[in-house]
Amino acid sequence: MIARESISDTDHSCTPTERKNARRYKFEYFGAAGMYAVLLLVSAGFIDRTPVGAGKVALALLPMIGMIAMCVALVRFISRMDEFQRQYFMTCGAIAGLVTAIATMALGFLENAGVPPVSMTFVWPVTMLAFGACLLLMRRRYR
Amino acid sequence: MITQPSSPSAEPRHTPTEYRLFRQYRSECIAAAVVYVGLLLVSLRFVDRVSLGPGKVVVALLPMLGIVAFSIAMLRFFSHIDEFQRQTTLTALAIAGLVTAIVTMALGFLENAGVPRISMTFVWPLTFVVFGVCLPFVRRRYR
Repeated sequence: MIARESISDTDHSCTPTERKNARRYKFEYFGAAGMYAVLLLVSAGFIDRTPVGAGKVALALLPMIGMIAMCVALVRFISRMDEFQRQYFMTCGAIAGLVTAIATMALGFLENAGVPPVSMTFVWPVTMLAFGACLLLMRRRYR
Repeated sequence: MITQPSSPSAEPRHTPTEYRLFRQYRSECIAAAVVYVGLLLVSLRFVDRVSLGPGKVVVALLPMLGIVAFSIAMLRFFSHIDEFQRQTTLTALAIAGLVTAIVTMALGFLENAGVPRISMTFVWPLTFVVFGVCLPFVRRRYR
């Protein structure tokens, strides 16, 4: 009976607090992502018309505000987690960082073979995809 | 609250097993670095002379063996250290991954302002410099 209960507990896998935290994160994250999208459109729309100088650099970096807001949302989410959840998030983050470093190094070496250099904006998606894939795999492993 | 021993010599900072692990990790890293440098020199010397095709790609990617060896040494080290050290190391690496993602994104946006594209090979050093800077801070915070 106890064993059954503990199994159904792990099946649900989320406590009400965790669910609340996840909702809060989703809210903050989508807010930040919306801001990012708007700032990106503004930046892309006006960058060509702006003369070279500090203004152009500032306009180019405008979407970074949304990007940093997304990171702040993520860090806040992690800080609200319990020890166990935080630990496996951090493990996934570390693996994602390492995978990104290896993948970008391979791309960098391919440049020597004549492959044109890829924009640095692709590093972020690689990190986040690796992070997401790792989270899914880890969740399955711990279940 | 446990008080810290007043003199640093009162308690050794690492156990003999930890010292052995550090030494082993260091020698594996040095071996990986030597392999990497050797293969990089070979790759850079011959990549221009090899005709376009899979051979050129293989020669360009040759130094990746050193990078992968280094990553394996690191993962082996992580799997042997104690829980506390693993947690701090993974946290520092996760922070490094996030900082790398933010910095590369900013660099990517600067490309829109006319800054030339940087080689992807700079991502790896960036990650590991941030990792090295973060590690003592994370350790201090958890201690």
